[in-house]
Amino acid sequence: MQRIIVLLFIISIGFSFAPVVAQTSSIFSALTENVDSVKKHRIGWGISVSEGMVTYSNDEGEVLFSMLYAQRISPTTEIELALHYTSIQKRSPDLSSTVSGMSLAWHFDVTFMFQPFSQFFQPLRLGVGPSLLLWDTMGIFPARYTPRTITSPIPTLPNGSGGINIAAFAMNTKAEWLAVQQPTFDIGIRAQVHLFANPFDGASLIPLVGGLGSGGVFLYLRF
Amino acid sequence: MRPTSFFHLFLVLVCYCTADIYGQTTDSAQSPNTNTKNTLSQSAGWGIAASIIGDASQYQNSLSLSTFYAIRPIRELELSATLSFSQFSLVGGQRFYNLNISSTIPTITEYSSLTSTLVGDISCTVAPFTESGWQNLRFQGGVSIRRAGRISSYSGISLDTTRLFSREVYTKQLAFGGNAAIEYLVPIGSILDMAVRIQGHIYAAPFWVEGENVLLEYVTVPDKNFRYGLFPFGGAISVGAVLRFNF
Repeated sequence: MQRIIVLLFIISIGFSFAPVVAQTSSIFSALTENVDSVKKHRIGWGISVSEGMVTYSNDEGEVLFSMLYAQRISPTTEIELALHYTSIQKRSPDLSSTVSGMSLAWHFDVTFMFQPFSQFFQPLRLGVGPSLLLWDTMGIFPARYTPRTITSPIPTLPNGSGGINIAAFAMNTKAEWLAVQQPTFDIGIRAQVHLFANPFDGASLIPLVGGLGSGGVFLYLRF
Repeated sequence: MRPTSFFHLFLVLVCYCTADIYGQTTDSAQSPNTNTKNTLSQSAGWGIAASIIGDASQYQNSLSLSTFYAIRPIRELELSATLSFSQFSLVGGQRFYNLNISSTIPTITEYSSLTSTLVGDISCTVAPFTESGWQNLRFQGGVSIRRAGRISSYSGISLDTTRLFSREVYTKQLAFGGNAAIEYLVPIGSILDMAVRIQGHIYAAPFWVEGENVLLEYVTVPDKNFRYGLFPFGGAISVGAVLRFNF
C-alpha cells in the first residue's frame, strides 16, 4: 500500500508539474516563433546491431531494439525518452562441459537532442543524456558434486548456474543523420553509445566500467 | 539512488509529457472524441502488461513491455503491428522429503532459470458498437510469432548422498500462434488515449528449435514438476494498459 501511495504521489507531481512548465514553455515558445507546433511530437522505432559488455563482446552484431518518444522544445532541440532492449543467448557446443548463457539488458534514456547545423550538415543530430542500465545475465554449466569431508560434513551438489543482475547509471551519446526528412516521418541512421560505471545495485563481480555501442536505422513518425 | 528512484524520475517525465500533451490538446478536445477519431488514420504507442498465467513465466506473474503502430482505415476497423518484450527469472532452493524414497532423509535442491520472450503480433481490431458508452469497447484478433529462450539449472542431493540429480536446459525456439484481446479506450485528449485490455496468446508447437525441444511451461520448482496443461504448446493471458497517440 505504501508503494502505491508513493507511486500515486509521484504521478501527481508529474501531472502538477506540467502546467507550471507549460506556462514557462509558452513564454519560451513566444520567443521561438519558428517552432512548428503542429509537428511537436515524434515517435520512433529503431533496430541496430550492437556490441559491448551486455552482449559478451562476442563480435556477432547482436540486435538492439529501440522505441522512443521525443518532444520538440525549440526548432532545433528535442527531449527524447527512449527504451532499448537487447537479448542474446549463446549455446556452447558441448553443454556437458562448458558454459551456455543468456544476457538481457534494458537501457532507459533521457536524451537532449539538438540539430545545430545548417546547409549540408543540417540532417545531423547530436544528443547526450543520462541512462539507466538494468542487466540480467545467467550462465549454466554441469553441476559438480562436492563429497562429505571432515571440514564440510554436509555433501553438496550446487546448482549449475551463475548469474549477475545489476543496475547502473550510465551516460549516452547519440549521433544521427536524417537521411529522409518528410513532413510526417523521418528515417535516420543512428549511432549511439551507452557508458556505465560503478553499478549501484547487484553483483560487484563485473568491471567497474562498461558500455554498449550500436548503430542502426530508425523510423520516426512526427505529429 | 536506487533503481526505483530512477523509475520514479522516469515516471515523472512520462507524466509530464502526457500532461503537457493533454494541455495542448484541451482546446481541440472540445469536440467529441468520437468525431475526432473519424478523421485520424494512425496510432502508435506503448503498453505494459502483467501476465496472469503464462508458460514463459512458469505460471507466475511477470511483466511485459510493448510498442505498436496501427492504421485505421475507418473508425470501426484498425490494423496494428505490435512487438512485446518480457523476461522472467526464477532462483531458489528448497529442502523437502521425497516420501517415495525416505521420510527421514531430506533432499536439498537448488534451481534457477532465466527466460526471455519477444512476441510479434499482427492484429485486426473492430469497434462494433456505436452506442454511447459502448463505442470505445473493441475486440482484437490476429496472428503472432514468438521467439522464446530459456536457460535453467536444477540440482538436488539427499543428505545420505544416495540420490543425486542435476539437469541443465538450454532452449531457443520460434513458434507461430494467435492472439485475441478485449479492450476499452479511455480518451485523454484529442491525440492521446489509453486502452485497458485483457489479452490472450496461444502458440503452436515450435517450428524451429535450438537446444532442447521442451515446453516452456514445465515448472522446475520442487514438488511442482508437472505441467498445468492449460495450453497444449504454450500461451499466456495478461492484463495491461496501452498509451496511444492518434495522429
